[in-house]
Amino acid sequence: MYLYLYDSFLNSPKYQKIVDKIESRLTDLGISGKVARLTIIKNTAEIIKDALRKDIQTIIVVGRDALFCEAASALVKQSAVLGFIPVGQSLLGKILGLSSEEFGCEVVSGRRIKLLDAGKINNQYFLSSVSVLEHKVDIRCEGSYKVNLVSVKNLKINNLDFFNDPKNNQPKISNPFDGLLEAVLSFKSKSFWPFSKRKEYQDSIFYIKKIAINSKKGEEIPILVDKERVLKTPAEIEVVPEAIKIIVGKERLV
Amino acid sequence: MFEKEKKFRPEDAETIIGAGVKVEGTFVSFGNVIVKGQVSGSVETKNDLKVEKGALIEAEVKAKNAYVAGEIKGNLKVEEKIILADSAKITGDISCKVLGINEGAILNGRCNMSDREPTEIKE
Repeated sequence: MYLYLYDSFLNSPKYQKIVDKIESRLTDLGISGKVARLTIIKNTAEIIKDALRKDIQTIIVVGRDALFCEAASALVKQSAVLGFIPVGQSLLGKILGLSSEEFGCEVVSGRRIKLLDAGKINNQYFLSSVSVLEHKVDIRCEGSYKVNLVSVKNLKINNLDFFNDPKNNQPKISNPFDGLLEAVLSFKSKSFWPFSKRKEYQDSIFYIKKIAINSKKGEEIPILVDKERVLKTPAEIEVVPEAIKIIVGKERLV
Repeated sequence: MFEKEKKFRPEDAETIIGAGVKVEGTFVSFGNVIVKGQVSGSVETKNDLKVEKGALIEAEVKAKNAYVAGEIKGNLKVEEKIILADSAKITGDISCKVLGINEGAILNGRCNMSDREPTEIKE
C-alpha cells in the first residue's frame, strides 16, 4: 500500500495540472494509493505516524526537498520505505537520481531501494546537512579531540549534500553509505579579492561519527538543520548508519 | 550494467587539517591525513600522513607512510616509508622500514630501521 504525501504548495490551483499528470501516471503504473495533504492542522510527523500505525510500507513525498528531509527524519529506523517525486528544483532529487514530476513516477515504480545513513542532532534526526554560520564555536570530535580555531565562516556537517572539497576546491557529494559524517570548516577570505584565501586560514575536513558543538561565549548559537529547521547549541551530532530505506534512481550521483 | 557498486572503505576518507586550525587530543583516522595546521596530543592513521610545510605536530605520530615537509616534535613511528622533504624538521625518534632524507631536512633524534635486513657493503 502506497501513501502519497503532498507538499502544501501543491494545494495551489497553478499546480493542479502537474498533480493530475502525476496521479495519472501513477495509475498507469499500478502504484496509486492514498493521498495525504499537509495542512495547518496536520503535520508531517503525525501523518507518517498514522501511516505506520496502519501498516503502510511505502511513503512517497511529492514536493520539495524540505518535506522529503522532514519525512526522512520521521522514518529513521522504521521498516517503511521512503520515495520522492520532486516538483521543481531539487538538489536531493539530483543526488539520488530522481526525475521530477510525472517522470519521477517511473523511479518510484522501479523500487530500487537503498539503506542510507542519517544524522542525529540532540533528539532529532536529519538527512541532508547541519550548518553553523559565522560564530566562535567549540568543537569536540569523537569525544577524544577538539578543534580550536579563531572563528569559522561556516561549519557544515554533511550526510547527503554537496560541499566544497578542501583538497581541490571542487564540489563533492558526501557519501550517505559510509557510516560517517563529513565536518567541513570553511573560513572567510581575509583578502580584498573574494577568490583568494590567505594562507593563514584554510578549509578543513574531518570524517567523524560524533561531534559536539558549543558556543565559546556560552550563548545559544543557531544551527540550521536540513536547510530548514533551526536548533540551538549545545548540540551533540552523530551519524545513524543504515537508518532509512529510500527509493533511488539509476542515474544517482552517490 | 552489472557493475558492482564501489563500496566505501573507511581508508578512503582523507582528513585535511587546514592552516589556522589546531587539533588537540587523541586523533585517530583510518584514511590519509594531510596536516597543514597544528596538532598536539597524538596522531594515528592506518594509512598515509602528509605534514605540509608550515605545519606543526607536537605529538606521538603513527602512520603507514609519512611525507614530512613541516615540523614534528615527538616520535614518529611508521610501518613502511618516511620521506623528509628539505623543509622537514623532526625533534624526536623515528622508526620505519624505508627512509628518504632530502638535503636540508633536520632530524634530531634516533632512527630505527632494524626490521630490514642490513645491506652488505661490497668492497
